Amino acid sequence: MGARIPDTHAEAWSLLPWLANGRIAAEEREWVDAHIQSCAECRAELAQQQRVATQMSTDGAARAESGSDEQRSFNKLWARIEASEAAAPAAQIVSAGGSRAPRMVRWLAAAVIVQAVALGVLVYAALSGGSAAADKFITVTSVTPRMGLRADAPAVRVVFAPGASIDTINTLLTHQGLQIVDGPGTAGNFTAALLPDAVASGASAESVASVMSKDPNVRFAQPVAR
Amino acid sequence: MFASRSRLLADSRFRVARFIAAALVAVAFAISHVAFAAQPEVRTPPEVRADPNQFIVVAVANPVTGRPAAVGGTAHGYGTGSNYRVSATAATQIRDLSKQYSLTLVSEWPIEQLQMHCVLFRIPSGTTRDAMIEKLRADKRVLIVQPLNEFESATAPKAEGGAQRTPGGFDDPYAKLQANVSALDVEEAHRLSRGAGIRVAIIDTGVDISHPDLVGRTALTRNYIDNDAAGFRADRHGTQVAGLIAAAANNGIGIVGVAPDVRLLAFKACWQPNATSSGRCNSFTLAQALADAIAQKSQVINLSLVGPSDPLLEALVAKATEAGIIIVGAVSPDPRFDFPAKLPGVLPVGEAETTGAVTDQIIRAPSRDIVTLVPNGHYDFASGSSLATAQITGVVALLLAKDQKLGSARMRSLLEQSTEKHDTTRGPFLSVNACTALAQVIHGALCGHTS
Repeated sequence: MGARIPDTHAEAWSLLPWLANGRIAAEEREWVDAHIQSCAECRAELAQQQRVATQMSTDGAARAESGSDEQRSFNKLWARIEASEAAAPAAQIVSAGGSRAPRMVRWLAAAVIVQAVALGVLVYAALSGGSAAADKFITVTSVTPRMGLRADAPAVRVVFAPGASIDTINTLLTHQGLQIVDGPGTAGNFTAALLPDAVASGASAESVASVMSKDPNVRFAQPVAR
Repeated sequence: MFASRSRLLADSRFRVARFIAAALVAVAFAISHVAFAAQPEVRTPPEVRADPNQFIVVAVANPVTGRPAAVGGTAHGYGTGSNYRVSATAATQIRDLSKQYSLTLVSEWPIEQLQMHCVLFRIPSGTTRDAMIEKLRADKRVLIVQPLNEFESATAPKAEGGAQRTPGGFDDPYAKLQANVSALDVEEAHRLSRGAGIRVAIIDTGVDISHPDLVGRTALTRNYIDNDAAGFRADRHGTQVAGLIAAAANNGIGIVGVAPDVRLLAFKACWQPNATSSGRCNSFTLAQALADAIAQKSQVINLSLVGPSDPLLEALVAKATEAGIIIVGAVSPDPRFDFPAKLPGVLPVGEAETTGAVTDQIIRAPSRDIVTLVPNGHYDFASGSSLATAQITGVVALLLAKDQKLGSARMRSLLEQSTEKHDTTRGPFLSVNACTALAQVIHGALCGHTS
């Protein structure tokens, strides 16, 4: 009986993030809560984790609110217009009825600009098959990770060789059961997580990193500590 | 039976004999403890880490000339052959303070450098920490009274996007990814100095001293947190810092350190609540580490951590600077955190890539997506002023190897003068140039790009 105590602590400790974000299973919650009553260290850590969880969910909410790239650019543009309006209050002192019309015009002008930019991006993407588009593809992928990928899935940090084509990179990732979840960093460093199927078939961050290191298209592949 | 024993006890001669026997046992116990004191560090009780608000740090005078007192058990000297012990006066003062204010002694340690005896007290329940500090501040016996402050390793949010410069030359496979090494002009600098023999103290979490890129570089390890040697080597932050300073160059594996020929002294004064979180430390652990780093004749001390003003630590930093030790400290983005970068004599290091004002007299080195060592023989990218700090510590070691007498003021001006602007696709950044700084102290040395 007494020997189980350290195990309980370790298990409870590892479940703190799930308790913090409220996604812990009901049956686990009961005994984790019980353990925490007698563990000051756990309580301190839980408080810390809850702060992080709150921070992350508010960040996420802010992102969701701002919506798509186009919407974001538009918001930015609109903010700029509003700012210039505020910066020149003297010029804005007109009759109450008069201020509405220019505002509408600005709205429409901004919408047209946003549409033009979006169209430009689409045309550029359609015409250029080069590496710039390849980089874009990966970056966009990183924003929408595939469903079912847990935040603590085993992952590798990877830097591809400068000459590696997007096809090569795609093949490499698919073969290893990897999905890009973050990057690139300033050093061209990406984070790629192992998909559940790959994990189920016995792949680990270590084994995948070791295989990838030997590939001439890979400059750096190391397991990520989770 | 009982009657005869009481008669014997009543016999005064027997009493004397018993006293002598007890004294002999006590002396033998004391000698054995001194002789086998392999680890003189005072560990940090777990409850101190969990709930620092229940504790205060108090220091009383403990002059070196004081007669050694026969205090029981908990006080340790520093294990460098020093005979510094707790004086009878200090021991009495601590006992009296404890009684008078209902304080529970948790841990105590003499600090030779400050001629003070330091105590970690638990405050009685029903008293607030601030009220207790207020009361003790008015007590003439108390030289320092302060909260048990918490400190944190200096980190930054992860950056994204971008391109890098590619250096050549080194045979370490990841050297091509070390844009920071290129910005600091480390390859050129190594023709002039590799930091040979300079004693570099890292006060941080533990370090993976058996990492293949670090093996054999550590002269000494100390642990003020626990007795867990495997845990010491599994700590991430200290390993990242140590790797940037001292990873082996041209060994065919991993990365290149800024000063690969230094001797590392690894002081574990911070712990990691979990495998990937930043390190946490407090006044108690850091004071021990700083005093020990001075006693161990460190020449540079790396402080990749930040926290609030702390009288005890400030006194120790002043002592270290007085002793000619160069202290390199991370600048915190949080203006409330003065320690260590705002202290006199400390070289304040910030991120090269900052977009803020560049007139703030901060020494800069790259800090974004820096490849370095992580435990278990692995490598990873990391960001933060911790890493900029470590690289400047390496540059300081390169300079000290050429002139050990460079004080912190001269060191600072050499580093500032060597700072250059780099224009990249992600905008300009400022960084020290190790070779240019070295060329200022080596007659006739040049930093052309001749390699």
